[in-house]
Amino acid sequence: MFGFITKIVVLGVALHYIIEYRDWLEWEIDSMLSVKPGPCRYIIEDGGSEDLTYIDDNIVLLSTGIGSVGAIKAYNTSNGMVETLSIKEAPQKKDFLRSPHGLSAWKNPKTGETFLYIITHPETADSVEVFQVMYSPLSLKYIRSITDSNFRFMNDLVVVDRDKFYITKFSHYRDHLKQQLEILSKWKSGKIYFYDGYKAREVVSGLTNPNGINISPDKRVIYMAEWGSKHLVAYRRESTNNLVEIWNTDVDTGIDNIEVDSVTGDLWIGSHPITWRTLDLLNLLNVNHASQVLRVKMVDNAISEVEEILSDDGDFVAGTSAATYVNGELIVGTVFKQALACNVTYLSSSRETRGHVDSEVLPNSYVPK
Amino acid sequence: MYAKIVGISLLVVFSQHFARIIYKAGYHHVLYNHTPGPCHQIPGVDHGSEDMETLPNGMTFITSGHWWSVGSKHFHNLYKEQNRQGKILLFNFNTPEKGVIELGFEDDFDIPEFHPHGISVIQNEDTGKITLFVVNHLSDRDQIEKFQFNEKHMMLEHLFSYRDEAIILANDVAATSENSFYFSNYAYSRSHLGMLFECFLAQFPWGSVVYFDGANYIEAADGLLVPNGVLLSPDKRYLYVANGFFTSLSIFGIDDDDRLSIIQEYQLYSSPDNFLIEPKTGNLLAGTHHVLHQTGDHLNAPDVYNAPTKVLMIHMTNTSHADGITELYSDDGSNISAGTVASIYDNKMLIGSVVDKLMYCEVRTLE
Repeated sequence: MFGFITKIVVLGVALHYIIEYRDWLEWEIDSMLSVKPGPCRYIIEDGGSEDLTYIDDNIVLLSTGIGSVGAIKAYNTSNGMVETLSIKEAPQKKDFLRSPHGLSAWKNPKTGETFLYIITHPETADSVEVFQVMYSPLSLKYIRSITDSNFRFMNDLVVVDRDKFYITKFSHYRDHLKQQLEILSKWKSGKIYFYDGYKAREVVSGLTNPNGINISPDKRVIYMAEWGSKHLVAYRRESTNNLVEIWNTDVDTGIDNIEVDSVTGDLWIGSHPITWRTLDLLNLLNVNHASQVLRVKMVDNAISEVEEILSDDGDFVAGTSAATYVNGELIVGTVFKQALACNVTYLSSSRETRGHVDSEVLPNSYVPK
Repeated sequence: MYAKIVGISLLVVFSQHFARIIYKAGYHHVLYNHTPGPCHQIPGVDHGSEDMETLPNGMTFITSGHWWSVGSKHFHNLYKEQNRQGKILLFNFNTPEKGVIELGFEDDFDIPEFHPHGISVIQNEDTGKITLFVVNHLSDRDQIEKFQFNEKHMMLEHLFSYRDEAIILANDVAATSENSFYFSNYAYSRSHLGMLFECFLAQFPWGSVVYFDGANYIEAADGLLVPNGVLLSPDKRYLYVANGFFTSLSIFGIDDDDRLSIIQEYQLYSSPDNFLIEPKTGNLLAGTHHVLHQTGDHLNAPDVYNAPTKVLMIHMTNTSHADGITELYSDDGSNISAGTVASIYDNKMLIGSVVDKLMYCEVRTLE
């Protein structure tokens, strides 16, 4: 009798995990609907741009070449041109700027100098490279490299002060095959560290593949995209720089990097909606990675509405990982394939529009019958 | 021994059947909002705009005040309490600021009850005469009404009521001439629980598409599970049928004997309601119900629950082949619930719903 009940219970629990795993892989989705905000054009076609950020003066910096030749490029929204930035005083290391990944720009409020911090994956250990952005002509000056014994496979960072940043540890293993297996096992090895200028200390643990990280315009809230669990999480920053979770939402899509609009506080997120296609162990299945860009409207640092601005099955754009909205254009970066600039012909207002009507279209006073 | 094998096999069959029902209900679906331009609710429409059709000159006829004959008690009580009424509304895309006009009926209008559902509008190329076919739900039967539009008086003259036992639980109608039409029967049971059992629990494919050729009613296609909207292709050679349960577009070819043969079944991943043609490209526009359990809750109690709305544009390579879907509009129900149909005229879009509002949007994202 007990044996039978135990078997049923074990079967039930196993079924629960199997169904949950299948849902996580999005196995039942065959294709994505196409959604575009307006006409789009490729600004980079020979590779991806895993992360990007807007640094004022019409310049968007892009981290390109993960998995191949690493470079930092700049897109100018006023003339639509893309250029690869030259690096002055670069160190002679063999592995310098190998596989550039997440980046973050920080402007010193007193001096107005802008610095770019970018995570790279040299053979032996991850390294955060620090550059100063130089103008006329636009270029980068190498400052220093930051490493720490805690850095395993890191993904993204957000800089809060000179050489002080929050950084996400995506996985423990750095080898590609071991990392894929680590992701498939759903081991909660992910962490967020705070680097205080000298060393990194753990501030959040028990995460499943944390990916993008960024900060609210008022600098009080840290947003983190937990790719493995498909959750968007917000933390309150304490005076000690520790993080306390405020809210946690299931967005049902593999969110990657987060860009924050400095004026409206909107979050622009590049995402991987069909997990099994993105994972594609050993590239056996050879399928297109699906794409999605979400715009999350924030009111008082809480989500008021989630809009889907871009969606594609992978034929037009594949593996979107980052997006930002600048001067009426949506700039989209992907991990390996392309970078896009789309004309946004309509963007609904950032203020909450749920249940409200936009009276731009018809004048207020007219007779209904 | 054999009893165990039979028992476990039956258990597996029932388990996968129930698992499919839960997936179809859409509890796992997450919806994001998306507008193609500024949107505005047209005032004066609070009891639905279930189906519509737009003529080339921008005039759009809309059915309102949907009475779901096999709906829940809550729905029926709400309808009576709020004095909802079946109406046909007229909207003109060229004068959107005038909103909708309720069309009156000529004096000889003598139908005992008028609760319109699907509509099909046909305009005679030579005389310009506008004829409307409307599905009508009476309490004990369904019939199809034919009206002529009197533009001078802004009134509808009732010409004929089509009654036959072939009209079971009608949903939509597609006119092929001024005296012939296709219509869909979406189920067989005439009670609320019976319909739920037949369509969702047991999934009996008792829906059909029937053709009236001017004299006789012919079963054109049967064995369908909740067929919803029907639309004739512009060249009149194909019939587009919304496959409500299987969330697909069924493209049927019309044979010489007016019967239908399936040409393509195109998966939409969202339950379509009604189709219309986008005039510039020939693409199909569909209003779809993305999360069916929410649509069900909303139809049971529209004053309590919202349901999401999606408008999809299905790319047609020619009139008989669909390839590619663009989403034009998506709402979680707070702006418009259970949207059923969308019509586009000169980059402006009108979205109708079962028992909710009527939405007017500018579409700025069509290239």
